[in-house]
Amino acid sequence: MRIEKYLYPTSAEEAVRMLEDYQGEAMIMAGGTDLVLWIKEGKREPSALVDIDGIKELHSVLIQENEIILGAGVTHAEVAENRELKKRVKCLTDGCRSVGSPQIRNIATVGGNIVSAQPAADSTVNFVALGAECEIVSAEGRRRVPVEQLFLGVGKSALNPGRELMTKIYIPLPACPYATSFQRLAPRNSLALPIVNVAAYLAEKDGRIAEARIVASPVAVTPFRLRQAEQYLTGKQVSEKGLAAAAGQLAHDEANPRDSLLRGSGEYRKVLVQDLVTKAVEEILGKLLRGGAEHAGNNV
Amino acid sequence: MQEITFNLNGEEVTVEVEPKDTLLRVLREKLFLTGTKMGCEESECGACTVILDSRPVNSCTVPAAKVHGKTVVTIEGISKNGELDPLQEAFIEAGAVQCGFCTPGVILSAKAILDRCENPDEEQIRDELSGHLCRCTGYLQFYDAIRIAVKKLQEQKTEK
Amino acid sequence: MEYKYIGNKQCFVDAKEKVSGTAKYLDDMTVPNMLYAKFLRSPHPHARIVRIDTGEAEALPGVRAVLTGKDCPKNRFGLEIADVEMLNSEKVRYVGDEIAAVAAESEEIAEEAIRRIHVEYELLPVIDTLEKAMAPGAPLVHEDCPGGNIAKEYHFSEGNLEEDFASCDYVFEKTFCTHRVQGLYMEPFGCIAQWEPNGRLTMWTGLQSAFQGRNEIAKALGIDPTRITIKSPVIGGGFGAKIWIRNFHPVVAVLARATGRPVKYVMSREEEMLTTRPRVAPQIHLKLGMMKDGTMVAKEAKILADNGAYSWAATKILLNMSVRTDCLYRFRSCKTDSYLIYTNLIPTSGFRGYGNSQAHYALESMIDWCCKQIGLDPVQVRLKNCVRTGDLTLHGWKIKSCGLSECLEAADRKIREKRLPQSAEGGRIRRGIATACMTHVSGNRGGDKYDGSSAMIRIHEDGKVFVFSGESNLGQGAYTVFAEIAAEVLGVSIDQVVVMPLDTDVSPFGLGTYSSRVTTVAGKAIYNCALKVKDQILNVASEALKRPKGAIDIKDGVAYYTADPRDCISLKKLCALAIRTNRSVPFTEYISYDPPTIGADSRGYGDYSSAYTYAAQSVEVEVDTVTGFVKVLRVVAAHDVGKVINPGGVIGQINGGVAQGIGWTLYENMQFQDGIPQSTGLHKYTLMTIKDMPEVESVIVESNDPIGPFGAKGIGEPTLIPTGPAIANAIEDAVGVRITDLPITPEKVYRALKEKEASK
Repeated sequence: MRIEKYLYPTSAEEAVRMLEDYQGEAMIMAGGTDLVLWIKEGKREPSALVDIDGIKELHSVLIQENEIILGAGVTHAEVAENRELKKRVKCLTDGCRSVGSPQIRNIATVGGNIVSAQPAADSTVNFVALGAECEIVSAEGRRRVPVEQLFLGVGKSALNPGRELMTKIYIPLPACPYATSFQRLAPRNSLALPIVNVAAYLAEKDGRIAEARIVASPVAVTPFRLRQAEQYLTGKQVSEKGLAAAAGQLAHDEANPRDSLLRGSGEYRKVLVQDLVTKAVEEILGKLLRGGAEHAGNNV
Repeated sequence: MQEITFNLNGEEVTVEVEPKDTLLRVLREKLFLTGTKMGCEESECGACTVILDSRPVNSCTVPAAKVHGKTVVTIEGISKNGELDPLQEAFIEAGAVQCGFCTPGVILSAKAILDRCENPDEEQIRDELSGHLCRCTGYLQFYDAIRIAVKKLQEQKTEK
Repeated sequence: MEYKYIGNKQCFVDAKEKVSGTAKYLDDMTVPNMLYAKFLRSPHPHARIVRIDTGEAEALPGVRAVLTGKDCPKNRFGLEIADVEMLNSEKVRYVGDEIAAVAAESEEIAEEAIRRIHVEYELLPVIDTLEKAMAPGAPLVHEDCPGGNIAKEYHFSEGNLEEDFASCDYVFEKTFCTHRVQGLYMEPFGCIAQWEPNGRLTMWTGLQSAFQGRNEIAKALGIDPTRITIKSPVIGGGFGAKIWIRNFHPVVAVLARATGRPVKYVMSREEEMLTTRPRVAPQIHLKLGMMKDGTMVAKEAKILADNGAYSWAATKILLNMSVRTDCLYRFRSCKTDSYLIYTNLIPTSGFRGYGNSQAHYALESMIDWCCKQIGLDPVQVRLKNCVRTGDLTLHGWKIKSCGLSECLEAADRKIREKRLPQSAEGGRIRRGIATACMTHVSGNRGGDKYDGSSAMIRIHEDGKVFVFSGESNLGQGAYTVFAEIAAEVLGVSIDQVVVMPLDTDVSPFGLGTYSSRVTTVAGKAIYNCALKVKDQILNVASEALKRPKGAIDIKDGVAYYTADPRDCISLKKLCALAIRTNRSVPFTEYISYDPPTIGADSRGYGDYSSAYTYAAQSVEVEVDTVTGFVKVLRVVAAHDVGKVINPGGVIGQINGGVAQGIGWTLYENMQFQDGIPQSTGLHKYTLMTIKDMPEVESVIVESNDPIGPFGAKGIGEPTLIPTGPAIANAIEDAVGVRITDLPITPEKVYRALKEKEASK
C-alpha cells in the first residue's frame, strides 16, 4: 500500500484528528527507528504518517518534588544526558544509555520504545520498575494508564498507534528514600539487545524496605515483574544480611526465559537473571545504607 | 509526492519526496550526495550517519519528510571549498581510513563530538563512536584521529 | 640503508577522496539508462523445484526481463569443482540459492516482480550437519558428485608417523571445531553490466581478483575472456569474500544482454548475510606426539570440513588447512586426511586466513593443552620447536627469513610486563595470559602453477609517474605501498605518482589480492618495473648530462651527477627530451614477475610461497566465573613482516586483523535452525564495536626477506590467525577450562566451569 501523506501536526489533539481522518489507517511517526524498518519489511502498512516533532508538549522534561513528567517524544539521548534525571532515576538514565547506538538514541523516543512493545527494550523495563504511568490522547480525550499495562505481547501494545498518541510519562517520586538500579548483559557493549536486563527500585521507610519493584526482560513476552523477589524484600530491614542473594535466588526460580539460539538457553539465562537481580539489589541496598538514595529533594 | 525544504550543508534545498522515502535514499538518489553510504539499511552499521539538528542519526531510518524545516549536514558539507576540515585531515594522518566505507559516517559522529566538546576523553569518544561498525581498522586509530583533530583545532584557534 | 619512503610514515594515497565522501564505490555509480536487478532466492535449505511461474512478474509494468535457469547459458562453473549454475532450475541447495532474476526500471519494481514469481517446491531432507551428510545412504546435495557428499579429499603424509608416535613419551588427542563467520566487508558487493556496441561486455565490480573473475564470468557465459572488461570502482573491503565471482556476476550480464540496457545490482545486507561465503567450518581431530623435554615429534590430523552447498574456493582452503601448520614447528613426521563435505548450509569459501586460521586454532590450542598435561611452559616449548631461517620444512618450504622466535619472545615478555592481578572481585573475576603463534604465506603458487604479478609504469610527458597493476586495492593500502615502492626506486616525490584504477583492458595481468601476496609479489613486480624505467631515464640523462650512466642517480625528480649534484636535469626536462622527440624513449615498461618458487607436487611437497610470515600474539583475558563472560583486556601482536614498507599500514592491518580474530573467537557466529539461517541481519550477528575492542600493542620484527621488495613480506592474513587460540589458551590459564569449539560463548564457558566444579 502506498503511503499517501506525511503530516505535521502542532498539537496532540490535531495529531489525533489527523489519525481519525484516516480512520485508524494512519500511524504516528516518532523517531522512526523501528517504524521505518517495519514499513520497509511490509510489517506495517499505514496510509499516512503523522509526525510528532512539531508537538511541543511531547518534548518537555519537567522535574517536580513528587513526580517527573517526561514528554513521550523525548529522545533516549536527552534522558541519558540529563543530570537531574540521573540523580533521581538512575536506572532510567542508565537504561536509556544502553539503547541501540548513539545515532539511534539521538532520535528514538521513550514513548516510541514503549509503544513498540519489544520485551527486550532497555528503557521500558525501567518505566515499569519506576511504576510510571502514561497519558494517552485519543478522540475521546486524555487518559492515564500504568505503563506496565500497555504491554500485551511481543510487539503488541494496548495503545493503538492508528488512533492514539502517547503524550507524557509520569514517574512518581516517593517522599521516602529510594534508589534504583539497571543491570544488563549483552552480546556486545553497543548496538545490542540485552541477553537479560534487570531494572530494580526499592524505597525505604524507617529502615525497612517499604516498596519493591524488580523487572526483568526479555524473559517473557512482556517486561516481567519478579514478584516473589519483590514480596520477599518488602518489609525487610535494609541492613539485613543476605537479602540480595536471596532475592536473586527467588528471581532465578520465578523467571522462565525460553531457550534462544541467539541469547542462550533458558536455564543459563535464569542464572543471569539471578546474578543481575543480586547485583541490582546489592547496589540499591548499599546506596540506601550509605544514605546515597536518589531523591527529588536529596541531590546527592 | 510531497515537497520538503530543509537546510542541507548550509543551503536551503527543496525536493519532492514520497512519505516512505528515507533521508538516505533522497540524499543519494535525488540530491546525488553519494558520500553518505548505504551499508545495511537497518540502522545497524552507521555508514549512513548524517548530522540532523546537530545530532548524528542513521539516515537510513529517518523519513526524508521528517527533516522538513530542519538542518542536515552530510560529509560533503564538512569540507569547505574543496579544503578538508581539520578532522578529515586528522583521519588521514592517523591512518584511520582503510576501505573508507564507514569513514564518512564516523567522521560525522566525530564532528558532532567536537562540536559539543573541545577535548573529549577516551570514554566519550568510545561512547559516541559506538554506533559505527568498521571491519578494517579495529577502531583504535579513531582515537588518534580525534586527538590529532583536537590539536589542530586548538592550533587554529590560537592562530585566530 | 636510508630510504625516503620505505619504512617511513606515509598517509594512504587514496584517503583524501575517502574522507571527503567523493570516492566512488560501485553503488555511487550510475550508467545512463540503467536498469536494476533483483534475485529470487530459495527460502528452503533443500528442495526440488517443481514449477516456476514468472507470468505475473513479467506482466508488471516496468519489468524488462525475468530470467530463470532456462534463459541462462548452461555452463556450470566453479573454481575447482564446477558445481554452480547461474540460476537453479531443478534444485535448490541452501537458503539463498538463486532461482530467478529480474531487471526493472527501479529497485522497487524489481522487488515487486520478485514477489510475483511463484515457485512450487518439493521439500527434500535437509543435510545440516556433517553427521547427516556422512551417514550411510544420506541424501545427496549434488547427485552427480562422484564422492557422494564428499566434495574433495586430501591425504598427505611425510616421515614415519607410526614409528615416531611409538617413540614419543606422550601422545595426546583432541578434537577442535570452528564455525562459520562472515567476511562482512562494509561495502555490499554488486556489479553493473553493460554490453558495448562492439559486442564486448563491460562490468564494473569490486573483485579482489579481477582477472580470474573475468575468466570465470567468461566460463559461465561461454564467451572468450578477452571479450570482457572488468573495471574496478573503489572497493569497500573484501577480506577474502570478494576474491571470487558470485552467481550474480554472469546473471547480471545475461540480464543486460536480454534487455539491451546496462543493469546494476547491489546486494542488500540481508542477501549478504544469506549468501556471502563464510569461513569453512571444520572439525579437526589432532594427535600430537611429544617428548618429556617438550620436543614435538609427530602430528596427525583428521579433518571433516563443512563446505555447505557449493565448493568454490573451499577445496583450496581445505588444502591449506591440511598442510600449513605442519611447517610451523620442526616435526619429524606428519599425516593429514581431510574431507570436504557438502551440506545444505550456506556455501563456505575464503575469509582472511584461508583455512590457516582454523588449523592454527586447533594446533595452537592443542599445544597449550598438551603442555598443561605435562607441566611445561608452552612458550618455551614453542621456542624449542619453532622453525628458523634456513630450515627446509616437512612439506619442502624453504625458510629464507623467519623471525618467529623473536616474535614469541617479544609477545610473551610484553604481556607479562603489565599484567593485572590474577583474581579480582573476591575471586569472581579471574585473569589469564597466553600466547599462540602462526605461519602464513606471502603468495601461493597454486592451481595453475603460477604466482606472479605484472606491472606497468609509464612516465607521463610532464614527469608524473603512472603505475598500473592488476592487483586490487581493497582499502588495506596496496596502492600506497605501490606508490611508495615506485617513488623510492625512481627517486621521485610520491605525490608525483598515481596508481591507476584497475581495468583489465589496460592494467597488466595479476592473479589478485589474496594469500597476503600483494606487497611481496606485486610490490616486487613494481620494484622490478621501476628499475627498468629508471634505466631508461638514466640513459637519457647520461646523454643529456654527458656523464657516464653509472655516475648518475635520481632524487626528488631530478637526475644528477653523483660526484657533483649541481650537475643535474629534472625528470620533466628528460621527458621532453625522451618522449616527444624522435629519440622515442617511451619511459614506459611492462614487466612480468614470478617469484622463484616451484609449487607443491601432488603429495603436497614443494616450496610454494615467495616468503613465509610468522607471528606470535599474546593476550590477557578476564573471565567472570559467575556468568562465563570473557573480556579480552590486552593483545600484544608481534609480527615478522620482513621489512616494513608503510608502518601505519602494518599497524592498521594488525589492529583490524586482531579485531576480526577476537570477533571470530568470542562474538561472531552464523547460526542455523534446521538449515534455516538465523543470523539474517547485522542485528543478529555480533560484530565488535569500538566499545568491545581492547588495547593492541604491536611489535614489528624485520627479518629482511631476501626476495620480497626491500625485504618485505605479507601482513594481511597473519594478523588474525594467532588471536583465537591465544584467547582460548588464556581462558584456560585463567579458569582452567578448555573450550575446543568456537565461538567461545559465555554460556559455553559457564557450562565448562560448572562441569569442572561438579567433577571436583
